[in-house]
Amino acid sequence: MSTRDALCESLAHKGDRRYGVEGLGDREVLVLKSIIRLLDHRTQHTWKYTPSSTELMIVSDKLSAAGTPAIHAQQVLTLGVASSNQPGFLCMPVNARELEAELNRLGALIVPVNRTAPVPSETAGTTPPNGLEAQPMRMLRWPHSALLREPGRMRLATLMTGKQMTIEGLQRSSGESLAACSAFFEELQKANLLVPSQKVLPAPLATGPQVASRPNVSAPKNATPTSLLARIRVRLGIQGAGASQQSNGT
Amino acid sequence: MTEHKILFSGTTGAGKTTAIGQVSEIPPLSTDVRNTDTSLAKKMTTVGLDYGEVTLDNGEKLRLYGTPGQQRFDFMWKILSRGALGLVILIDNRQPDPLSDLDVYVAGFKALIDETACVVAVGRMETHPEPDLERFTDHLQSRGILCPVLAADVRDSAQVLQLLELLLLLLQLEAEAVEPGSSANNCAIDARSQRRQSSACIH
Repeated sequence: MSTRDALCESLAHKGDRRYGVEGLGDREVLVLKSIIRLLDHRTQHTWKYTPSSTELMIVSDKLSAAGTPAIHAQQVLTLGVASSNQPGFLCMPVNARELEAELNRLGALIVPVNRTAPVPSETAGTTPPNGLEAQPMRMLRWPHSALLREPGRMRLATLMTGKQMTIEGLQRSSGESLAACSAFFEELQKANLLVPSQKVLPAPLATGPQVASRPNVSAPKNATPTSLLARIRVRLGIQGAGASQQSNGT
Repeated sequence: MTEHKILFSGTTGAGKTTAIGQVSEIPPLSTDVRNTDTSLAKKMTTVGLDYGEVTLDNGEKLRLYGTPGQQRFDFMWKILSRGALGLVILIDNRQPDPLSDLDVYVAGFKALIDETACVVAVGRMETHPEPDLERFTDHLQSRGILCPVLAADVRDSAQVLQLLELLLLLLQLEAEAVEPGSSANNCAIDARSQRRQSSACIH
C-alpha cells in the first residue's frame, strides 16, 4: 500500500467526535472552534461542535471554581490560566499542538453514544425488545484481569475487541456456553465496560451494525478447515473460533 | 510456495527468541551476539532477528520472526512488517519504564497494528508486578488501541500458544469485518497475505 493510499484509508476511517464549550467567552469560543477546525487535517478524529455534547466538554476552570453542577460529558478538557501539566488541562492561551494532543488522547477514550436515531427499522424487527441478550453491545476497554480468570474469558474478551456483539453472537463465535457468555456480558456491564452499539465504530475493526443484527452471520464455515487461519490453528493445536469448532465437530 | 509470517517484537530480554522456540518446528535461527550492554542481565542478545517456522498441512510456511529489540534497529521493524499477519508485543516488566517501552513498539509498528492485529504480553509480572495490566490497558487505550493485554511467561509453550490463539481470533474478526458472514472470510486473509507477500517481494 502506498503512503498516499494509507493516508486516504486512514482519513476514510477517521471517526467523528462531538465537543461542546462551557464557561468561555464568545470570542474565546470562536477562537477555539477555529483552531479545532484548522487542526482537522491533523487530529485522529473529526471534531464537530455540538453545544450540548455529551462526548467532550471543554470548560473554563472558572466553572469548577464557581461550583457549577457536574458536566455530563464522557470527557472534560479544562482550560485555565494556572500552569499545570495534568492531563485534561490546558493553559490559556491555547497552544495548538497541545490542543491537538489532548483531542487525540480524549478522542480515543470517547465512545460515540446517543447520537444516532434509535435502531433502524430493518434491524428492529429482528431484535427482541429490551434485555441485554438482544442488544448488540460494544466493549469499551480490555477488561480488568479479575474478570478474565475464568476459563474461556480471554477468548470472549478478544472476540469483543472492536466488534459489536450480542450474547448469542458471542456464543456462536466463541463456542462457549450461552450461560458463560451471558455471565461475561453481565460482568462487563457491571464494570461499565459495555455500551450499546452505534452506527459509528472506530477503525480498523468497525463492522457496522448489520453484522450483529444478522442472526445467521456466523453460520458454520465449511471453508474454514482449509483456510489459512484454520490451518495455522490445526498445526499449532490451538482452539478455533466457535464456528470452526462446529464445522470440525469439536 | 505461499508464505505467511507473524512477528514477535518487544523489549530486549522479553523473550522473543524463547517464544519463537516454543512453537517453531526448527530450532530458532538467531543472530545473537555477546551482550555488552551492562544494563541487561543476559549473556547473549539478538541484534538481527530470530526466525522460526511452522509448516502447515498444505505445505505452506508460517514464518515466525523476532525483531531485534533495540530501537536502533527500528529500520528492520518496517521491513519485517511487510506482509505480516499480525504482531505479538512482549514487554519485560523488569525494565525501568515498561510503559515507555510499550510506546516504542506501538509507535514503531503503528501501521501493522492499524492494518492487522496485535496482542500485548507482559512478562516477569510475578517478580515485578508494577505497572500492572490495568495500567498497560489504560496506556494503550489512551493511544487508541484496544487489544488483548495479558501476563505471559514465554518459557511456557501453552502461554505462547495462547498469545497466538488470541492473535488468530483477532485476525478472524478482521476477516469477518471485510466479508461479514461469508464462508470465504479466511480466504480474504489468504488473499491479503498473498498481496502483502507480493509487495514484499518488490524489494
